[in-house]
Amino acid sequence: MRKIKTFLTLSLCVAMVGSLTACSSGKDSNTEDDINISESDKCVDEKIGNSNSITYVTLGDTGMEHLKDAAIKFKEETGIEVKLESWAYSDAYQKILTLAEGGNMPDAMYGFSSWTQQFKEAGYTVAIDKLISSELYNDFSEAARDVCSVNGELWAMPSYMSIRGMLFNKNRLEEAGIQQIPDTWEGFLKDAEKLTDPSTGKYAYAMVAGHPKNTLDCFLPILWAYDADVLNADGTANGFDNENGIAALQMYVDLAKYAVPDYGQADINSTQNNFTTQIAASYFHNAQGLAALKDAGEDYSWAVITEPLAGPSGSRYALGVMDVDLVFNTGNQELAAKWLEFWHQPEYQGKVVDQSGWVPNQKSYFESMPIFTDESNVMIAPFAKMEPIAKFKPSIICWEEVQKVMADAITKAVMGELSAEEAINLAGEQVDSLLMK
Amino acid sequence: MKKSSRKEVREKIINLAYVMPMLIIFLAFIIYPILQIFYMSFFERTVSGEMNFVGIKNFCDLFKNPDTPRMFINTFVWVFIGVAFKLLLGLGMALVLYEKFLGKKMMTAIMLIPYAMPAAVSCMIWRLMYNPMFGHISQFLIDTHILDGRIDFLGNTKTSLIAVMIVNIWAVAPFCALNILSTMYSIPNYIYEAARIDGAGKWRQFWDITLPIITSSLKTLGLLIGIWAFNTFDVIFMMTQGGPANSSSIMVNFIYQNAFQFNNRGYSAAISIVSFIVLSIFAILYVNSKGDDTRYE
Repeated sequence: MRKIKTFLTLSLCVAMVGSLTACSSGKDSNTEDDINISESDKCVDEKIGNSNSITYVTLGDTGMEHLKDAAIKFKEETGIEVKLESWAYSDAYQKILTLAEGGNMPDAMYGFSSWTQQFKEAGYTVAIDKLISSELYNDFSEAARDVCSVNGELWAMPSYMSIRGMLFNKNRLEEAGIQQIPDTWEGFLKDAEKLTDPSTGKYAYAMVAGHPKNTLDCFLPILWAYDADVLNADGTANGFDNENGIAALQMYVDLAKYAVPDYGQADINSTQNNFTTQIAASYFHNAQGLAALKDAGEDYSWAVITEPLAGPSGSRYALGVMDVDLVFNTGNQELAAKWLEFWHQPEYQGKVVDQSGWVPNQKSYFESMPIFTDESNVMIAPFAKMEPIAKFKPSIICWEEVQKVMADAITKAVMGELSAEEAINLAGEQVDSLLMK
Repeated sequence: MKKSSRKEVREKIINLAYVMPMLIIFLAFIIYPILQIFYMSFFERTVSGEMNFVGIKNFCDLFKNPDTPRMFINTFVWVFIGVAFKLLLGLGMALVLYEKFLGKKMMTAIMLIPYAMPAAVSCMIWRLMYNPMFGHISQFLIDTHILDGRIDFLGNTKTSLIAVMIVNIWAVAPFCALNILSTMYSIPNYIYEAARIDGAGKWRQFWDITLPIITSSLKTLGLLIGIWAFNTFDVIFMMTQGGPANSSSIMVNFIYQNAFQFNNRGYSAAISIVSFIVLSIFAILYVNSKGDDTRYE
């Protein structure tokens, strides 16, 4: 009996040690070949990469059909297979950071311009100006190249660009007896009361005060119009903890009184829905909501697109949102860049830009697709015209935290927890300490 | 000191070998990660992935953060007030279900729905109900003239925590009711019969018989759901993501936010340590409370 006990004990211990060893190796132990790969071999494998296939990650389903089509053509032409993956927007940042820490990045990925500097500093991505042709480099608009550049080098490839302006419901303005579409935030605030009637569920404006990213999407055009900014000129401290910043936040707080009351949990899609369902008489965004109405065969002729409203000194800026394609340091960067160059053509990506209502940032798209310059194309032409006044969010390492700190302060002011001045002071201190870090 | 015989030593080695697999698992998957978190809490991760030793800076930052008091208050309210309501509601439901009435089984099944429902589904339903534009709750309060205008319960810094707590209480109270009910069924009937013969009414029976007997079970249950509440992440994340402006965030949300959204692993580890210490107190209380078993002779 004792011998059986001893045998059982030893067997259990051996099994346990064996299983733990297998776990810690981090590789499948299916074949002998796998087990015999030495460390140096693995390094070589990583450095050279897999030359037959690359992985490209996109977010959401936008343009997936065209991506698939392009991947098939790319394989026919080059023999390189592009494995497409689609991630949810909300998980993307966390997912890519986790993968990057484990060294398992995709070869290329569609993402946000605010990631560019952080990923560069972390060594996850590579500069792409040497990897793409000069034709493509020069094809990008100057504004697009600026947003994607760090110290003069292109660290991300400009992808979809959205320029955001004001959208008004002209019927609602007429009903309220407003003859002229407001041109300034002050003017709009004066009209806002006439456009608001909570008893009938009608409000002047749709905005966000809570969701970190979308709160800034809605607030930045006002901040810029009031001649303040997120950062100062040299990027060493905040640029909003001043009279202009306080005035801008006060304007946002005042607007909230006439806004659809879901702003605390709304995201940008909710504001869009509030406008397309005519609950809100105006909002600040692009034409994607109108494109949805158009696709559904519904009337959208009541919508008017204008430039962003101006501040007291006449400054006005459109919010530019630049999405990018990033090339990761996987050893396959040349192939990944080649694929992106193939994808960034009017017959592939250009079609997605057109379908989704984005503003092209490649000259060739304007040249080969007349729809982008057609004045009657209300989905794109008015926004394309705003490119010269477009301003983008800064690409800084701690952007996610800066964005959250600012959004929280704005939210507290809108909800009446802090005055505009207190909120701006608090956010200013916190942003400065983040920048110092 | 008596020297162990060879036989005893061998027995001890064999016994140790028996617990060795469990011990290895415990050390590898519980003790090691905890030590790793302690270690990480003294470091700051740079953007290039290097870990720099910063001493107790992460802990100082935590207590300097203007949102920290709110985080502690929210956690306190979420755990203690939440648990109190869950137990009270659970007790009320258990008392109702203890009585004999027509449709009792159906009632029990209906009562279990909130607990059995996946959190994602119940959060979706409650989000719709709380919606200020077309939700039932807002509309009902306006129609009954309790409210003048629409209120965004989840999107308001003053109401968001309470709104999420209601969902959590609604979901967990049935579990409490079932637990309390099972303890009540274990109370021998003759105790109640004797009380009735002595002229005790329903209220007196509850106060002098039921409550003292179930108190031990209530304490254990309270500690258990308190620990769960402390670690609740899903409901808050799905309802409000801790917002607006961290108004519904508890410690777990802060840990998640700093670890995965801001990539501040060291800072997040420091919050985890504070959370671990608080939870350890709960755990000790829970283990001690297990000794108060009631025995019927």
